[in-house]
Amino acid sequence: MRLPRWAVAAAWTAFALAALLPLVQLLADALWRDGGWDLTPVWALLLTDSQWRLLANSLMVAGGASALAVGIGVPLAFATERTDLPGRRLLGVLYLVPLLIPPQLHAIVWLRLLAQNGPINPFLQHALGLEAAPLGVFSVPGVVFVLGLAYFPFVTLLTKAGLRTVDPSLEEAALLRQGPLRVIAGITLPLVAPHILAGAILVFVFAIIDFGVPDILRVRVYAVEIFIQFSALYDKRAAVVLSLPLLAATLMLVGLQARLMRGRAYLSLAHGAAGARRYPLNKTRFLALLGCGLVLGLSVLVPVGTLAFAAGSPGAYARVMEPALSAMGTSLALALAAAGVTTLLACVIAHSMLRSRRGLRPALHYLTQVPFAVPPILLGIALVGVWNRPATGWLYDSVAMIVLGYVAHFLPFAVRAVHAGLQQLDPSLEEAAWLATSRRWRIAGLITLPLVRGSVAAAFLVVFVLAMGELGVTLLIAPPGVETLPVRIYNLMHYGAEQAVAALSLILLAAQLAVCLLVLAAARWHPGGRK
Amino acid sequence: MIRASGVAKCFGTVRAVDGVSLVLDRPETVVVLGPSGCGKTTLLRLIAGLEMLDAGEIAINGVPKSAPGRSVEPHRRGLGMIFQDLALWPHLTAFGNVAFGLSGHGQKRALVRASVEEALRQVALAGHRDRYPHELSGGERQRLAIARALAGRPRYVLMDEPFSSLDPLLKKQMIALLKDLRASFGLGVLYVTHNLDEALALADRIVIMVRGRFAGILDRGQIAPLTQPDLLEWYEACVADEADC
Repeated sequence: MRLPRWAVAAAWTAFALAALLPLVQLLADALWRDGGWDLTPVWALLLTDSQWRLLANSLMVAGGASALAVGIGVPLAFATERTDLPGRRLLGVLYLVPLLIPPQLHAIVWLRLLAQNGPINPFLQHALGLEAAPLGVFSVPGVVFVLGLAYFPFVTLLTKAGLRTVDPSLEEAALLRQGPLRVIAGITLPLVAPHILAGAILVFVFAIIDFGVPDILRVRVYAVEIFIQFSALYDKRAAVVLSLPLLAATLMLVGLQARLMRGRAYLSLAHGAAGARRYPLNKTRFLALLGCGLVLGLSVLVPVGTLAFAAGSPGAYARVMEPALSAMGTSLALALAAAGVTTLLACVIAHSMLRSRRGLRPALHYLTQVPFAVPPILLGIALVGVWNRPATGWLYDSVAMIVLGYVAHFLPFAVRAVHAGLQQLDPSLEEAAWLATSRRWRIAGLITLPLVRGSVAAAFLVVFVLAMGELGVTLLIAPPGVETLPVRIYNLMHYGAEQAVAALSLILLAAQLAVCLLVLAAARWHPGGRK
Repeated sequence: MIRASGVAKCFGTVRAVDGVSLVLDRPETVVVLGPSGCGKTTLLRLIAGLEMLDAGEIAINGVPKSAPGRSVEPHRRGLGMIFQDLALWPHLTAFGNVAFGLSGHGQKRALVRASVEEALRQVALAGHRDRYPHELSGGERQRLAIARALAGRPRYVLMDEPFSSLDPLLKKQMIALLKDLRASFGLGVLYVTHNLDEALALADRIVIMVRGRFAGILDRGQIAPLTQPDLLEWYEACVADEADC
């Protein structure tokens, strides 16, 4: 069954206007001069030493964060999906909490903890008899550590989804000949390798386009440099040209990732595959629990605990909340609106992709993933370039501009989630309904949507969470007088208002958690009380 | 000899296997017949050690392997198994599929390679050693599953409806191959199916399983004169008797 043509055309037009048009504008800004293409400034910029340093720094940050995320995320996924680890169900939910904490908040926490006069360095100096502080967070390894901790749940999420799709008989056939360790290494791990690699690439791209963490930890990477060129030096052309190598690399990686995950599930809201084998940990149970506890301690308890400690008494929350109420309301409203619009567009786009000609599908899928490759700062510059005109001033000067930015930035994630869900749906289910009614929206609402509601809820949540913590796009396109909570936190941090930063960060986290729990409850609720 | 004594297994409130006793000797083929959901596959999985049993005991060559709360790991039972969906590892070549179970047991690489080559040759797949399962035809995949199960010379092979998805001609070829290999290696085969023709073609003994229990047994002498309609008649009578109980 196909959706009405006008709906499909409207969704793709919205996608093109929001996400693709700004990219075309970017290329024109960078390379179009005096009525023709001019590549001279590109070669000039590419050959500078600072470009190479920037490239090296960016690659080290993204590669390191990706490797750390795999190192943490894969064992955690195996421990919670394939062993009899005590508390694995709780751990299987808690590991997602770091995603609710925007990466820049992780950076703020570790900046505080690893400061020269913070709680850790003086202790280590005293204990080890060192003259200088042994741990420094203002470095490439510091950024790697923070980004790895912030993004490892993506690797865990994808690895768990992969493990749930492994046919149990493949492992059982191997267990008849080999012990569990060799079966995991020789059979299970290779079978989920595409998921792990896709997770690693996802983290790599997230890390290389991240602006907040390297900015706070004062490491010069592409995203920071682009922001400086645009905001401090007002050199838009230099900013765009500077970003071209980064854009080429991320576009290639996003394409590779989309290819790796073609036809595979990105996430699963189910509790586990029926019949999946769990291996007894026996004597290593305590060690495994300790490892998982350490990871969650560093990525959840330490940030939350540090922020709670810095926020001080409960009265502090009320004090900082009052002037931030408007920012909080704006953030919630924008994130909910962006999640709703993006999910709706993703449903129509993903459905139309699956019903399109087979040869066209990979190209369309890749096209929907292109915006993910664009660093948020660059996307912000592009959106300014496209919409900051007298004719579109009504949009550019309103909060709808921020929603447009979020839709452009986060649509790839929503499309992936919905597309993966729709792929599992047997088309004959819709065809059977089509024999009974010709009303396509009725079929979509009563047959298709209920069957993929898990994926739709996941798409909504992913966009909501990412939008609530978004900084890069918002900084550039928020109209005067409009402030989101992450922007307020970012500004307060630069003013040195540590207590307010900590309290607002925790409030942001609590608000995200509350909405996520509500959406998950709604996704699992069935009319008539059936589970 | 595989000896299962009073074996029982429940899934929640459902008794999948309910006090079954069975002896499988070499060289012998015991075919377990029965309607869908009667517990045939669960019995096989209990013998393979892929499920823990709730009651009874399973011993292989006189050594206890399974008892309530105690189970020897599947790879320490010396059994081969062919799964209904074959469970060929898609990321390994034909060679890799056979070699996986043989390597890592202290054997020299050359010896493992020779064993794999031999196993592939026996099922006429020597020329396909570098192909992946998806590059093989249905019959070749079936033969690869047999080669994998027989590599390392297990004395007993468990087979869970392995030929259920084959066309009649291919099925006939596979049954002939299996008979050859059984005779060559002196194998004990426990063969689960609901196909009466396969049962008649392969069985030295036929047991019928209904609702987790054995509802009837035929020995070699009783099977020899049977035609497919005779076996169907006996099958229906056994199922009806068990339903009346």
